[in-house]
Amino acid sequence: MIAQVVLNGFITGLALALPALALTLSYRILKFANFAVGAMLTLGAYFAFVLNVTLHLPLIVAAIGAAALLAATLIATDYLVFARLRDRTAITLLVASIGISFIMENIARLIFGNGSQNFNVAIMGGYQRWNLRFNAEQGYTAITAFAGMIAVYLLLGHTRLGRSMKAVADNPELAAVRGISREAVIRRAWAVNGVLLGAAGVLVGLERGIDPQLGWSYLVSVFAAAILGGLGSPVGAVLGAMTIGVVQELSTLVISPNYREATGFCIIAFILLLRPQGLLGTVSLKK
Amino acid sequence: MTSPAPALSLRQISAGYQGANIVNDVTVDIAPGEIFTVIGPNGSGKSTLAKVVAGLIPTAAGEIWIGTSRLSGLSAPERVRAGLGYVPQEFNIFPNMTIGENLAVAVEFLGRSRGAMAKRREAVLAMFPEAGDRLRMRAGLLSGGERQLLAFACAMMSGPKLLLLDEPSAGLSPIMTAKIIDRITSINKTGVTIFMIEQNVTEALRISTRVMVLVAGAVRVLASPTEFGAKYDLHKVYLS
Amino acid sequence: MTAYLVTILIFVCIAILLGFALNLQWGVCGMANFGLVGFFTLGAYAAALVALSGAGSLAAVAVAALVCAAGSAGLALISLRLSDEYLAILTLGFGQVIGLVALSETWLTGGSLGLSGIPRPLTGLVPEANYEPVFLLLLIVSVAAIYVVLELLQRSPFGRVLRAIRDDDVVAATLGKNVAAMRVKAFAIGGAIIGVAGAFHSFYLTYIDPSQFTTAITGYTFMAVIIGGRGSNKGLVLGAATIIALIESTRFLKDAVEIVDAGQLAALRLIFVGAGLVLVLIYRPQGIASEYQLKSASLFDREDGRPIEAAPAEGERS
Repeated sequence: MIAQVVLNGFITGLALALPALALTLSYRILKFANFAVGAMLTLGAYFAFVLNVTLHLPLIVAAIGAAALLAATLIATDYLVFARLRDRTAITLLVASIGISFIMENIARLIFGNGSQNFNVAIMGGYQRWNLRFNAEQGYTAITAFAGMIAVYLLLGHTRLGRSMKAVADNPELAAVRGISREAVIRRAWAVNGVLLGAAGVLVGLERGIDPQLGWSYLVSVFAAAILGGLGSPVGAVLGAMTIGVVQELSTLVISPNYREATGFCIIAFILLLRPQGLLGTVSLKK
Repeated sequence: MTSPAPALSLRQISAGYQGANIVNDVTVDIAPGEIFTVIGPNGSGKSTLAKVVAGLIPTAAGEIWIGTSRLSGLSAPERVRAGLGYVPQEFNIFPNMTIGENLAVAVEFLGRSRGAMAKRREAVLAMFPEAGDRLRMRAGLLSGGERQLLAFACAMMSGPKLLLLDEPSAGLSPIMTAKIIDRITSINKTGVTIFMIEQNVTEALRISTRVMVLVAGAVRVLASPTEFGAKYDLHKVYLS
Repeated sequence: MTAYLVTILIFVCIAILLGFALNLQWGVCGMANFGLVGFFTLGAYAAALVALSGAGSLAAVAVAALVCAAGSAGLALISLRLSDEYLAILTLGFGQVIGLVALSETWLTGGSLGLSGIPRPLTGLVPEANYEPVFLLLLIVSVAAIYVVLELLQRSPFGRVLRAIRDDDVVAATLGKNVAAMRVKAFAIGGAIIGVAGAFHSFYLTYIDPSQFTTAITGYTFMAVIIGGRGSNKGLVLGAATIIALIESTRFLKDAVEIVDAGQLAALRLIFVGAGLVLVLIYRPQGIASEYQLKSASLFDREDGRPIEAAPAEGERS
């Protein structure tokens, strides 16, 4: 029934909010759309998998570990690749990020194979209230997503780091002459990305299992969320994610579930035709 | 008795973009406490010179010193720590952040203690009373003149010994210009050396200790305002 | 051995066609087509379906080209005045959707079982034994024809404006509307070429299924275009040949030394593609072949001896 579908959609949307936030942050600060966001999600899931299944750590600990490991990986990736392309055209960075995604996803594929894995967690029960079913995984997703969103909100609005990110996103030259090192802020931005994507990777892995394709199939949805919200607006990213989640779940009522991922594409096309700046963003025109 | 080190020392500075030098062999020493103004026709390289001193454009040749510290080779953020304050000509505030955030950001990344930062804040707010009760307002909503004042305030947050101003009165009404010029002289009286790029020659001559004319990237004249008024015809100098 | 060489050359030719298309779309117009394999799939299935309906190979190729051109034009139109990342995600999403359709719409595409028994061109005229070399010849002729068309296009006013746009953003701004329309046209032409490549793929294999169309193809094509020097078709031929040679040599390696299985080999190749893309973008953004290309004279050079094609170094673009 509809209400159940909408509820499921909210939860899906919440899970999508974290990677959408990460994409938005890196877009604003680094000025390019990171097509490797899906692959980074995959890596996060696999980091957690190794910590949880191979090293027998509880999932919470594994999640925190994955967040830290991914943050370090992204800082290293920036140092090795993105830093060397720092002031190139956006399209070069796009292609480079696709290259990075090939590398990341296939390292996972190389090590773990194509099959789907699962975290080691006790079977979680469910709840029922007002005719709506709600399971514990969904609960964890909601809690983690909310925690992530609140953390980002506080970070951007009330911390020194957040102010430095806004400054560099706005005007890196001015930030420099006010004493802010662009490179240091960029490193920290990747670290934040890593934490968000690590946590999100665990959530996605919980919901649909961990396999090398995990991020790739999420990629379009993450972009759809960010574009719907307006590329560059964190609040927009969250709103966009919730909307995409609900629309995707509702779409399963009318079209085959195989095409769930296709809804993201259709939504993007739709938005770009009607209102390219999304809900809360400003449109970025071709030079 | 040795004279104190110059507040700013430019030694044979040449700089430009991709091979073509916009600034050629500029040499000048600015004494502490001076108000030193650079004037010149459009395209003479004045803004480039300011950006070179600020550390935004690399030098092709020459050295820059502030007091006894060598600025050459330092990044822009490092120069702020060395005592340089810079107000760019445009885009000199963060419009999407509040006034309070603009001020905070200008002093938070210099490795200072909380106490020191709080003291700077007080000092700057005293100098710039306009800011006081509007700290939560988005800076983008300020008028042109108010933005300029905010930009000054932000540059002053780091407690600089030398303040670099790029066309501070550009695009402002005569009243606002007078206010800005007034503010500059007050700042100077607190001991901050001023190195200023200006289009407005009259005002420049009025408050400056010395004036330098830059034409096509080279120094044409370096004199006090009185000497300047007596000896030089500005038109001829600009066209030379 | 000859049969093997013929097969390899056929794959090289198809790769060259894909490369020509991406070169036009990305190398010349700066439009990232991350859904290249999706258009390839579309062309292959369209051609297969038309050929299977008995309408003949020519019709099949034409329909494939048209369908892909239309799809490309559509995506380009949607993202017309927007910056690069929008077209990139649109094409990527489109590619995924095409893959989903190929896999799910069993009534049309045969689902995971695909389509088989696809009729080939010229079968009536050539004895079975000699077919493959003749097919290769047909393919080479087509590649050459398309090459000539593209070169003429580069030298036409259309091509000159496109190159001017790529090299100077101010020009683009002043030309306004026209630029947008031209980009769409160029993207569509590229799409048509991908469709043709897809048709040849269907004809050659006579059996297609979704597993043949992997993201790797998009990756390899980008690699070929970068290696060859963006915008340079001559260099591209070198790039495409290099890529195929590398792929095939890893196949031999795998058979000879059994460290990795097929799945791991596929993964290794993609890591190589990713790393290759990144490395070349960092260290040789103008490509590897472009230097040779500048030095060699060509039939198509201008009278004053200056070569016409020259992909600018990445750093020169603002």
